[in-house]
Amino acid sequence: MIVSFKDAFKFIGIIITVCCAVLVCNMFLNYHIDLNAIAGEISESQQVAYKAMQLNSKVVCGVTGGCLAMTSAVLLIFYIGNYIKEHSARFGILKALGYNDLKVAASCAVFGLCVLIGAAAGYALSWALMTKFYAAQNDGETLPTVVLHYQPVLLLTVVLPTLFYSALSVLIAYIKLKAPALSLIKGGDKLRRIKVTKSDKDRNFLTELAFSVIKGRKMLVFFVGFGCFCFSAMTQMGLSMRTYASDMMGYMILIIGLVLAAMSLLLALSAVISGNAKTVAMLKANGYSIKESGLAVLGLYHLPAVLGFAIGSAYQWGVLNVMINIVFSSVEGTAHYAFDWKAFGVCTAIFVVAYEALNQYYVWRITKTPLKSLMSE
Amino acid sequence: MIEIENVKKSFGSAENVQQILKGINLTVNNGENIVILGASGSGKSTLLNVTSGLERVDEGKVIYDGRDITALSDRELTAFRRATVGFVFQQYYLLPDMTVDKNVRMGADLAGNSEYRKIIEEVGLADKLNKYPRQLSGGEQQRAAVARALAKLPQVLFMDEPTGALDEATGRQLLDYVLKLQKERGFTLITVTHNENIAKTADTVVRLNSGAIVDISRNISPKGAYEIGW
Repeated sequence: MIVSFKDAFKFIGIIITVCCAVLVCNMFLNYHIDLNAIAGEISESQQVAYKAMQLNSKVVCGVTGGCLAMTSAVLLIFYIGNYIKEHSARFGILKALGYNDLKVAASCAVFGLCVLIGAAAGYALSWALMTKFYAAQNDGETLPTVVLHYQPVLLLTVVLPTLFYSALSVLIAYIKLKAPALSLIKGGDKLRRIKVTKSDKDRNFLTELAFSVIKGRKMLVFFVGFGCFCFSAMTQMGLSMRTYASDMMGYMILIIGLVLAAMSLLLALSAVISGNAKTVAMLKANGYSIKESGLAVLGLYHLPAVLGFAIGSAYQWGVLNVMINIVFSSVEGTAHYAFDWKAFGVCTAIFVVAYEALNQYYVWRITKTPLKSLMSE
Repeated sequence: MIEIENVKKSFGSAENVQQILKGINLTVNNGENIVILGASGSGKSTLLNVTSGLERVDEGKVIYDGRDITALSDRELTAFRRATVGFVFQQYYLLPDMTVDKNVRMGADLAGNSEYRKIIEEVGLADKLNKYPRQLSGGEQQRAAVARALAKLPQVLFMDEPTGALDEATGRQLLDYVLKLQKERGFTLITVTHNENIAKTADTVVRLNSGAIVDISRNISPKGAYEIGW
């Protein structure tokens, strides 16, 4: 087998993200179907609250599930691209021996396994939490009690993503493997086209290095920004939701936000560090200090991080404003929503400390790696 | 002066320890051109790494003008490398996403050397200033690596198989340039190689076999890069 099962398990980021996506979708879709079943019991006065609950379950499922599904797809593209780059010689030799692109790419279908694991875990977890979730949703006593029923059709939340992501894996691999066999054998770096850009600015070496580390790595910039966006939006939203919805909703959003943020940031920063291991080795060999090396390699990623955090704060304010002050405004007893400055302050403080700690950890990690092992990679 | 005293270095796990350096003693005078000669696996690259402070010794001392670098902390060792040594490796290790100009500037900025472009001209890469390493031949990449090391104005230049990946013409050209500059500037040059011919260009030749020095000889009249066989 070209790609082993062991390789698929390395895609832990995708497993966790898919798990979260299926967890949320299965709970809210199950609830939505059961909610539809009580439509005949809804009185005229309960119609507004009922429609709001229906919309709420659809929006949460669509936005959270959709967002997580898209994240999984982006993660998959990134992981497979990186995997092929790391093992390009192996793929190149197979191509040189006469295996066709599709046959080689088909072996990447095994990456669908990580989606299956994540989806199955999410599905199981959703059923572990389902009773509590229904109890929390029924807590308001505005609507008749929604009774929990098992919906077998929702097993598709496990099957469909597995099939879709397996096919997507093969497609991504097929596109990536279009490069000539010799280029693949020579290594992933050769696959990248050189974009010669003349800089008239006479920047010093470390500044130039910082720009070169971030230039041409839009995906990593995106992941850093996205991770901080998720952290900012979902932690603030989670804290506010405890007041406006329920503790359970709040914690769920909070946990999903933290998982997404951690996955994105760990993925991006690990890729930045591993992609620049030799650069750091040369900096160390020549006598650049730990601080200088860390700043040059990770310093400019602070910009997308701060931007992601700021956009996340604005986004959660916009979403909650629309949901609470517009969609649920006619539901009796719904409080007016205003920007939660306290949550913002707490999240900002945690963000600054956590992001800097993560940076320091990665700087420490590179400096503790022996030069010899960095150079022999 | 560099004094290497009873340096030992091993690699591998407890059950499978391989002693690479078995108590090396050597003295290198300032401004000396020394070649460490040995077959593959003789420990010559390890000796270069521990002498330059890239790796730590298991036992022994490496003393630069009275200062034992084996006793330095990581931070102090980094500062030592910054101020004292330059490297040229067989695999060049140029930064792939930076131009020749910026790669050389990597060394120059450490020494505050604003005249570094003169070195690029001297190694014959003036017209390749804005080229990336992948756009250069092997010889050009190695010349860029030499320019980077020299732009740092090192007191000691370490070269690990500098001509190993080059063809004869390019290898001679590079060696000629480094030897000329070493004489002009008077820095200490320590080259590791398996090429017997290159040893003829050195003041002192140290032969290494299985982690031990087996012979030290002096060349009364060292030859130039174009006077030796290849």
